[in-house]
Amino acid sequence: MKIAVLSNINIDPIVRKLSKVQNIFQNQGYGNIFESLYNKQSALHHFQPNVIFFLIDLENLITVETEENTNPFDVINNWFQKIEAIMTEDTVYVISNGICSSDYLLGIEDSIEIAEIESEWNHRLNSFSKENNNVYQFDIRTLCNRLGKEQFFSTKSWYLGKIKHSNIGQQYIADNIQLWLKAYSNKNKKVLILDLDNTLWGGVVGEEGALGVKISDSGMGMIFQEAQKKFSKIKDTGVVLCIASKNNLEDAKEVFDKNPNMILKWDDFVLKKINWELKSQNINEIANELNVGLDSIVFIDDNPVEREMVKENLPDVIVPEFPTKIDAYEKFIEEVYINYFWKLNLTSEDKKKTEIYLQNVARNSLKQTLSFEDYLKSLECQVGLIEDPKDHIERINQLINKTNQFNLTTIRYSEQEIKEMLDDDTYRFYLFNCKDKFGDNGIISLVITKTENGQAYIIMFTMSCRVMGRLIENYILDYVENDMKKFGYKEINAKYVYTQKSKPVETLYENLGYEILTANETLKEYRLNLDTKSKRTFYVNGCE
Amino acid sequence: MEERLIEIVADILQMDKKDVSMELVRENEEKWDSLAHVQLVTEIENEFNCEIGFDEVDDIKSVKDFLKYINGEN
Repeated sequence: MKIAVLSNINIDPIVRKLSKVQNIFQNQGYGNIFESLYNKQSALHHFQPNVIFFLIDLENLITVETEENTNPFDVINNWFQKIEAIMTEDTVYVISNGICSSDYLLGIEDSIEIAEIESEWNHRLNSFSKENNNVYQFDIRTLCNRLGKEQFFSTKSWYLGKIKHSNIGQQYIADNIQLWLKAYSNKNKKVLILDLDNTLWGGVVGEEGALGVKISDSGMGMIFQEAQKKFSKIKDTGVVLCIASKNNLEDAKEVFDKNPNMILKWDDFVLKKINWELKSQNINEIANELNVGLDSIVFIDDNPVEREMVKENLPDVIVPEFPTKIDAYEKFIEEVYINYFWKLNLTSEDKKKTEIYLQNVARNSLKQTLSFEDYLKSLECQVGLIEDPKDHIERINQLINKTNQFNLTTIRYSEQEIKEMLDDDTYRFYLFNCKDKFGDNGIISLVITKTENGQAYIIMFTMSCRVMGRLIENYILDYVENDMKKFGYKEINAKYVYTQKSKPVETLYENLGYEILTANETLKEYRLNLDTKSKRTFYVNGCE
Repeated sequence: MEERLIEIVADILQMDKKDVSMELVRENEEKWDSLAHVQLVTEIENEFNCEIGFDEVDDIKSVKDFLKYINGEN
């Protein structure tokens, strides 16, 4: 991904910091934002950034551009009109919200307070980002508030080199641009595992009892109640919560059942590993049962010994340092959220994720009592093709960019590329949903085909890991093959691109009768004759 | 400490560490322009928790000139 960071003030130090980790446009000077965006010959234009950040210093903008007959509001209005005029659909624009470094702007009409100017900018930016789905806000205001203006800006480097932000301010901005890009490219974690004693509530339940642990609306108990509220909000963004705690299961369950001050309920947690086993072992089991990688997991525990052991045994799991002062707990949870789970957009899938995973746990316990075939039959699985994939771009984006295991090619496409492909009729998007007797799994699989010179290719086949192991893939592939046959194709081409994580589907195509054309360590290419293909086994009913 | 100073200078001037010494002089090094100078000053203040007065910034002509601030001799 190529990025550019533009500003009307000198932000070279920020660009320099980012250039170590990002493919970033090296600005020539500053201030001429619109010129370089407008001019097709400019270096910026040639660079073709995918994402452009605008760190706009409001104070500078207003004082430079407010002339005798204009007021600051016109300047702001003008700025948004200009940006609107040069915007292109295939670029993402991230614009900083309003913050002035000083609290007084001398020389501007006294009646207009700084706050009004800032809020005008934010108001415009808010509606602008709502109207355009390729425009986002960059929350520089919160960064500044966290540090305070005195720390965020530096008068010394301003007078020495027209650099407005202090060193630490620059670092905050650079770090946050990194976080933004991480969230944008969907590289965040999926599961948050929590300890119980002194993490979800204060004190030790085994000693103090279900009603004795500290969870209430005042004092120490309030810290944990507020913490639970935060965890609950994190859950609502699609993060799966689980428990790993050394306790007697009955003792722990009793707190959920009997303590009226608990915010989080027993069923807010998909898996509860409450026993005396090693936490690393419990975390491993959680990863297996949820079918997620260890590197998708964040583990919070107040006990440094436990943290150390998990870090040692499971180096891929993120184990944040617990705050030394308990009153910093809520802020710590916010940081964990921002650093590991923050998302730019929420889909309806995200909101019901806990429910979906809970159903899966119920399915698994059924699985243990029946033969594989009887189990699949008993699920009463129904898979349906979604009529208009264009209505589900968010979910398509997730299936393409977040699926690692059941992903035959692991090609990633940006949202813009996806939109272009959806408009190109040489591509077909087969998007499937799935429900069974335990509930609705939502949209679970995507196949993209490309037709070119009379040949058909499967260029993408991804499926959500939560429905893996039910032979649904056999049905889906069958559906796509039959459809391509209807379009008159006699054969279909496919490939598998090797990645560390996609090993589970390494032999999918050959197992389903595809002929291997070429194979090496990184790639296998296949072809299937659609007229002679064999009948597939699946226990799925098609639905509309 | 001198090692850390050289690291910072090399990092900001985007030079190889072995090309940076205490004797490196500002006016002989093209990369040590006024912007780089400001970054050096603020970065060094930050890293070594020292203060270089506004009117003294221009007196720093070589890497070793930073030492007296770092050592707190000013």
